[in-house]
Amino acid sequence: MAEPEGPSGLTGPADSVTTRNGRGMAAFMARHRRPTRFLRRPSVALPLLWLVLVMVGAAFAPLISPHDPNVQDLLHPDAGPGTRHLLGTDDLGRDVASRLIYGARLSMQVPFETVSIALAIALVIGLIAGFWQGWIDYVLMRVTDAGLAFPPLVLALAVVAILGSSANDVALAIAAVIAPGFARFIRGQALAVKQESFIEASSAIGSAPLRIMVTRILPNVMTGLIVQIAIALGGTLLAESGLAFLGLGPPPPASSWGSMLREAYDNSLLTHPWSLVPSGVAIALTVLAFNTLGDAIRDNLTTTNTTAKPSVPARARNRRGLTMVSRPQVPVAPAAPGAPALLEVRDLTIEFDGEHGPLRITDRVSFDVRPGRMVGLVGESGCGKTVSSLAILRLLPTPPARIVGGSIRFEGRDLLDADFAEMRHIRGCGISMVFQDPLASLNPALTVGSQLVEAVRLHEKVSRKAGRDRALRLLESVHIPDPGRRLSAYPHQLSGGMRQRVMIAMALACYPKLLIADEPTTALDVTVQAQIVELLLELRETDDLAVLFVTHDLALISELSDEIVVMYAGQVVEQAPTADLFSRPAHPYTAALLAAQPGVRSPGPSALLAGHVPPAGHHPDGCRFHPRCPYREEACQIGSMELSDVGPSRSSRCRRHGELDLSGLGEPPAVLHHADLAGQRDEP
Amino acid sequence: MVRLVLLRLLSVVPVLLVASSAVFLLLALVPGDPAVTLAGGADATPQAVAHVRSQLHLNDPLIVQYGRWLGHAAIGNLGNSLETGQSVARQISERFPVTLGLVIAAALVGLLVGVPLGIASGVRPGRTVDAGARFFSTLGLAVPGFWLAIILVSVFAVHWRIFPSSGYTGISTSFVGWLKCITLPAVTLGLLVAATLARQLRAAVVDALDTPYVRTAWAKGGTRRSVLFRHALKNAAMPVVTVFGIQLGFLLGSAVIVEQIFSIPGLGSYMLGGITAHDLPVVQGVAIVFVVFQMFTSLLVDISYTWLNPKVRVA
Amino acid sequence: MNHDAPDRPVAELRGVSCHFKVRIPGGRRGTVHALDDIDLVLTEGRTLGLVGESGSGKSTLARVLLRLLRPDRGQVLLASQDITETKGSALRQLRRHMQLVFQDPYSSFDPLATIESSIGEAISVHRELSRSGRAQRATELLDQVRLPSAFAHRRPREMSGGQLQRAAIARALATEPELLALDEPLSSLDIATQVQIVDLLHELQERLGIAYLFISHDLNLVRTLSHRTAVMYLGRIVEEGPVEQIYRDPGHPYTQALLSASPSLDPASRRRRIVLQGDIPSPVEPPTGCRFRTRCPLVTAICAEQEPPPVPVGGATVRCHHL
Ligand SMILES: Nc1ncnc2c1ncn2[C@@H]1O[C@H](COP(=O)(O)OP(=O)(O)OP(=O)(O)O)[C@@H](O)[C@H]1O
Ligand SMILES: Nc1ncnc2c1ncn2[C@@H]1O[C@H](COP(=O)(O)OP(=O)(O)OP(=O)(O)O)[C@@H](O)[C@H]1O
Ligand SMILES: [Mg+2]
Ligand SMILES: [Mg+2]
Repeated sequence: MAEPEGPSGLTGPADSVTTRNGRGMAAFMARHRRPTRFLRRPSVALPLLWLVLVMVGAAFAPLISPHDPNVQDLLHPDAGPGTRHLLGTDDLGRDVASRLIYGARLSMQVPFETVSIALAIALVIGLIAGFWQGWIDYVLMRVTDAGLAFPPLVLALAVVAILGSSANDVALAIAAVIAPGFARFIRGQALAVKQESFIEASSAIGSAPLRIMVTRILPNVMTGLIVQIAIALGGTLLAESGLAFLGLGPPPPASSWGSMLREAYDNSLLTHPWSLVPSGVAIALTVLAFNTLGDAIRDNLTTTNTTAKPSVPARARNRRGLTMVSRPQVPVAPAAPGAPALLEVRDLTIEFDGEHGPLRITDRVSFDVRPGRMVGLVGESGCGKTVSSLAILRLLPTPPARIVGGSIRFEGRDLLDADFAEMRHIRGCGISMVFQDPLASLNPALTVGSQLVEAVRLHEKVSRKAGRDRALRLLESVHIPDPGRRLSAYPHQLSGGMRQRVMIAMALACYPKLLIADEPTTALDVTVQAQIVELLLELRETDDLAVLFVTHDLALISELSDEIVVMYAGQVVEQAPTADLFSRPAHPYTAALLAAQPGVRSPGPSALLAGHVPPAGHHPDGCRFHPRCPYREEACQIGSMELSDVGPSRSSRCRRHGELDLSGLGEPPAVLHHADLAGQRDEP
Repeated sequence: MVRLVLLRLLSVVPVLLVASSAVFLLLALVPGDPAVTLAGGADATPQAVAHVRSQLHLNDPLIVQYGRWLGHAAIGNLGNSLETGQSVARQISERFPVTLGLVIAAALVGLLVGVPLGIASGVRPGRTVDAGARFFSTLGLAVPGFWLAIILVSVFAVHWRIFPSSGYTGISTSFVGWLKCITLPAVTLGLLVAATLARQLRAAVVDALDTPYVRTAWAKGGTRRSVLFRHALKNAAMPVVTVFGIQLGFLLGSAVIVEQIFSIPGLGSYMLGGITAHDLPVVQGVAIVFVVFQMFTSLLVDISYTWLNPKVRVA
Repeated sequence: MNHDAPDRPVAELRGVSCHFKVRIPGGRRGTVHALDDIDLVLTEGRTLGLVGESGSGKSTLARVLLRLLRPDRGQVLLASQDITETKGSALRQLRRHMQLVFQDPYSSFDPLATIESSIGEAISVHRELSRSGRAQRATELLDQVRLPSAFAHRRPREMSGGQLQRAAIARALATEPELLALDEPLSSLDIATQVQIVDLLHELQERLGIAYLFISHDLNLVRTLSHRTAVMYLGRIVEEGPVEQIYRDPGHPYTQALLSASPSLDPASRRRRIVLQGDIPSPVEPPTGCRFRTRCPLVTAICAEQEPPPVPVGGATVRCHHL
């Protein structure tokens, strides 16, 4: 990118095609603006406000509190709230409001101190045990077992007997009680995170264990641990009152909310129930604040894009399993000439939440898939193939994704109007999908067999046994060796290609009418790939299966597909029957793509080899391909380009499709040897 | 798995050794003298105290006292209570089932309330259900047990007279009677567990629902139920199971207050009496039960890990 | 390429076997023979292409070579030093010299970390840099693999498959390794980006003399990129030799079948396909003798009895009884 990025001011190649300068700076600023956006959420601002208020009150207690917290007014004990004593008085006639304010000192200090001490110990034990496992884990966890089982009373009494009963000692005593639980929790989470592939990747890099623990395992453990921390903070507020019951609280004149609650309970529960309210409410509000804040921080850690500016109102979000649609008006689909398409995608526009508001990832994508046809979807990496495919089944998560325009008609029904129940029947039976990343897309906790059987049984009432037989046959049909054994294997025990074939088998489980296959054969060797292709072709013959085949392998798709859709930078730039597309590409991008094919003798360096594709949100005006297009003209750089028909069942998004003759570029080569490339090398 | 269990069994004795010596040491540090209590309280004559002392061998060095206890414990004799002279083993065998029943009942309450609550809020984070569940859990966490007990008693025992306010009926005597007298204590204890489980489960469900394999489950045509229960929950369960295991241990330890309030003759009150009276055999005996119980639950938790996450192997 | 350093071995596998214990239905335990008796040499400034049937053990081989797995038998050598038993910090010191691009890019990135943080981790293993220095180097690396700098602040979830694959390559290059294993590194990239990355890999090899282990199913790509090629079938290397010789004159029947099945834009080449009969046998109970015999068109009695020894043919080694 030709833009200063952050403080370094690094510039990219001169011919690069970015639009606005200084975007890097803007991104830099945005990263530093992120906290403000986070802080402005009510679920963060309100609890934070309360905690700050309490802390400020505690710090400036002598200035704020209306009375001396320890002066007894024995004439007015147990008074209700009034003008003289805002929150009334306790059984000794001390002003409750003032005691509350002073009490905040201990009540804020003890929990934070306790949890910090406990965390410090537990993190060391838990991370070490979870990371190294083996005998270290064994020894540490047995010690933790003993710690967990240790009678808290004995511990607390002993700590106080040794040290005393100041706030610090109380904190230490409670910390000793909760630390083993923390340690066990951290260890449990660390055990699971340790098994993730990215930890293996980190150790393959050569990162030191300490670094892996701190930068990789800890944050992933944190997402669960925050909840425990929030609970412990609140719990400590109360534990203190439990200790006070044993005579272990801070010595009498000093107050804390816990001890106030205790005193009120002991002295005036039945006679003056009001006395429980002030301290009780203060504790409850604080616990609520800890929990709410904990949830907000946690959710923010894990949400996809923390810098994103949410464009969807909170109420409408999180429709699990169904992408949200908010299109201005439902377009009336023109009746397509000829045979009705099985799938008609029209003007599909998808937005993602970005730093500066919505980012348009795909722009008015249109294509058709007819029954029994195989359509290839090709295009540059990152141009929106996966996003478009996921949108068809409405599988993009909201937030961050939203479908903001267009229609997706499947057998005449607009899927963007469908509700969950309808969508559920279409998924798997009508349209099924093979995902690009098979390892992540298979459930790590379930065997391959149970995932396959489920796919069958979700749509058909068959017995478990029959489901298993079908699963076995499915695995056979995708040529997985030893299918009987593989049924009981977990995804991580399979090779990359086998996982991919399991995904394919799962997608075919219920005889779908349309299969969306997102790079389904990348991990397959050519012989297995041929077998899978054979299988798809066979299903096309027997079941009239239509396939939308996302791929980068033009050679494969040229053999396989009837039609090809070419995408570039979030738009469809060309759709054409396969043979036509290869012999007479109508868009310069298609032509360049064909010319870049290995073994194709191209008439000079391909246009595609210059420059980057700009990321979504930074596409140039006019034709999006124009900065790299050898045929661009002045007029290509302004306005917006529309997809137009350029022949029978062909369309292209090029102004000059009529004038240009791009046919020479894409012609299949006579020999498929990389003569020129191979020639450069010296053979040993 | 067999290996896992065997390895754990191997560690029981050393862990007990460590735990009991720690209990012994710490208890020695706690102020109080059993001899004074036994001789008749604060105004006992020094002679009487000295007599009791020598009778109970309390003049021996600490290490000798511990060694003696250990020697007896090794052959299965947990000794007699200093205070009452009753066999500790007998007392424990009578009281442990009572507390275990209470713990299990409380754990059930925790699961029955906490799990649905956690799931409901995890499925729709940020929505009303989530806020409501958070509010409820906050109450569960912010209301002290002693207070909750009083509220429950005054409503259900005093006002409506559905449950007895205190007392205990053995489960073998009358199941219904047991159920009646265990309900309020179990709810008192269980709500805290429920609150904790709900919080943790919410987090885990939010994360699990956001994974690519859950997307696959939707793509298969999964119903909301199948996606949630088959796919998300199994992966979300690990931290929750961990927390549940820890909570079980805490329940056993924190049954003290509830047992006191509802006058249930369980281990907690036995332990409390032992501590205040400095009754070493009693405290040690109960501590052993606690440790074994904890080791058993953590074994179960570890076994569940290998089922919940097939990649995890625990030693 | 590097003319003056002829064939200095960077890494070597000697008689390596790697087995996995698995449970098979019926409660019994079986052993997956993922790798058996593998000999392989990677030389400086050279690329070894590794092709073979899916599930034949290529990824496992890469993980053994980088000592992410310990072989059950045999030796792993890095720069003539036996590292089979090396552990802990000694092994960690060596890791910066050897890197791996994992087959599943999505899973190999920390879902909570930005790409910059993941790449920064690799940079800091290699050299001490300030935070901003790391960020700048990360941007440079991303630029090398044709990713705009904006991607530095993204998390894996926000990237497409091909973008992540390139980020994975950038991360592996960060330590400037001498040995780089690439497991299907370009499978999700369009052809233009592939060419760019291939150029980058060539250029780095030229300049730094990196040895690549290039695992791919794209036979054209392997041909373009590698100097020697090894072909795997069911945990064994059945043929290994100079790339042109193997492509022009494959010795092993499996290699012949594999090469003939490669799809192409050229309709003429589509007809000469050798279609293998039957399915791949189970790696739990691999066939006796030659492992390919159950599907081999040339099979005879000897194939079941004896394991074919490695036979030198030209510059290549072939394990077949029928040469
Ligand atoms: N959550 C997200 N937030 C922001 N941008 C995203 C998000 N998910 C995807 N993108 C962007 O959307 C664009 C399209 O992604 P998509 O996965 O559809 O690409 P693709 O065509 O499938 O590419 P590939 O061939 O590399 O898989 C990419 O530039 C990607 O960076
Ligand atoms: N953790 C494991 N447990 C059990 N078996 C395993 C494990 N990892 C790999 N295998 C088995 O080892 C064999 C080789 O797997 P590997 O991943 O090395 O194959 P591959 O050649 O990389 O295949 P692909 O091209 O499909 O990625 C396979 O049969 C696989 O099932
Ligand atoms: Mg994709
Ligand atoms: Mg592999």
